[in-house]
Amino acid sequence: MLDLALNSAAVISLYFAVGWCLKHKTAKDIDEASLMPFADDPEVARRVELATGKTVNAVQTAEPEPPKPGWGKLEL
Amino acid sequence: MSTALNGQAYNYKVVRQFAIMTVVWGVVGMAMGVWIASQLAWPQMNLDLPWTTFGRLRPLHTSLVIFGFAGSAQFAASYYAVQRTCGVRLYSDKLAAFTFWGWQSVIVIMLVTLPLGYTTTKEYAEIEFTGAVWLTVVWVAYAIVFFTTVVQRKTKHIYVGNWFFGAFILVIAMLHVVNHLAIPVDWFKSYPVYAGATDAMVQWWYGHNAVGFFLTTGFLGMMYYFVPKQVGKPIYSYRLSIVHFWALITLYIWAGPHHLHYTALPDWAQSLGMAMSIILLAPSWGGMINGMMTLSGAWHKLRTDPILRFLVLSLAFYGMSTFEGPMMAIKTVNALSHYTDWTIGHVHAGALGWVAMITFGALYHMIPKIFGREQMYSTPLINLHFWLATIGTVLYIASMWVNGITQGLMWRAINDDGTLTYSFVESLQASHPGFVVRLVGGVFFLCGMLLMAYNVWRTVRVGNLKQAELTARIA
Repeated sequence: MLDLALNSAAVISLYFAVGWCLKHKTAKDIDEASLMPFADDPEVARRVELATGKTVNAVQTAEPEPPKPGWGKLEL
Repeated sequence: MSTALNGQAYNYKVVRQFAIMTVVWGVVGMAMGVWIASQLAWPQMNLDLPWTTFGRLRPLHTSLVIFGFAGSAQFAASYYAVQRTCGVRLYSDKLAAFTFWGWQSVIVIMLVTLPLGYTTTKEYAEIEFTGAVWLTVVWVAYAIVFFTTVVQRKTKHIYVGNWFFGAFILVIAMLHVVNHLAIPVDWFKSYPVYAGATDAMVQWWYGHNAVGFFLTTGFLGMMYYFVPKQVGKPIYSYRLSIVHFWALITLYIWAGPHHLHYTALPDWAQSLGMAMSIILLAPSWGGMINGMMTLSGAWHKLRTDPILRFLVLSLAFYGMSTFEGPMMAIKTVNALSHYTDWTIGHVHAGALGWVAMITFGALYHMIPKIFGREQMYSTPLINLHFWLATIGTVLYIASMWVNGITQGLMWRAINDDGTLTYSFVESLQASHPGFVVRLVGGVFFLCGMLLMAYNVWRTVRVGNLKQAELTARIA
């Protein structure tokens, strides 16, 4: 009986968790989320756009911040 | 998706450090595995020294490959992916550096104490109390670095790979603390607060989830980032990845009791573990299919891209071992397989085929980028590594299947009068050819790892860190 209750609880919580995650997500939101690994890599992003026909909101590049001094900056 | 500029560079230094140490601990840990495999074939390899006996080196092998190799790989991959998918630099350079040096010190503690015989005797949790407390401190620092980076993200959504990394960090913290609850009697000796069947249950709740969360969930995070990147296509179904995440973390945590079938553990707990293990097949295969299907329309890339081959083969082994696991968790199958080499083969199908292969793919993808190179020093060497690793894994698991089924059948065989047909030594003699083939498989795999170390060294030696910093600019 207990294992049945635990199994049921697992399935129900799974259903609600997934439902909660996908709530208010449009197809565009999901597409954008799936394209996030390419967003900081404009060159790859263009290739992905060509391959998928989807638009990657690729980022522009900025000047790097100079490294800060300190023990945390030791090179291996 | 937000793309605001913030003018910072990613923290690649800590990623570089962890990536290099992944290779170092991979070589050391796998060499240790080859050594202990030789001990099982030829006991003289124990060298008649207490520090080099199988009993002490086996936990050292598992600790080095799990925490040293796989742990460093996940630190590297999670730090790399979380920055790039959140669009921010890793939180706190100093705390990130602390996690690197702290984690390496944990591995060194294992390397020194385990051969000396200091052990909790709990599988995959052998590190004694003082070391376990230190590991907790480092892990909390890791959690702070990772989650603060997620909180500071410039993107609206948290990419699914980071969900997997986050679950891995949180659940490992919980498992490690609960399983290591103990009363210390001195710096290097403690006694668990649990006793009897409760202690066994807590240990295998930890032990199975060490596989489920340390060797699966974090690597799935890796898969969700590196497979799409290497293929050049988004994940097949992002919705499925969310279902995969919640199903996996909901179910995995219940499967531990299957390690204690036919023991003093209450029967209902054994059945629960079996049922949850079988249900677990669904999310595991959902994730595997999601990764595989990402290659739809891009399968031709496998002909020319050995890095992608590593990633795809790792998914194939993931699918195979996550099918085998639930089958072995069925009590009637377990009656044959438990305590035999079949279990060792199953673990290595996951450890070599899934964990190590996806790590190799991820490292070969990442290392040129973080060291400012176009590509690895030698692509043919990656290809050779792929074949050595594949042949080594197949030899290993096939020999353990044969050994396991042989042992299971010989141990169960009884004569008409109820006496055992075979002595234990006879089953050992029958296993000897399998032990030798397993050793050969391990040597193949280690040779591949050494080739990787050489390839990485040649790539890193001519690395252009300035170029890496330039390409690490954050949008």
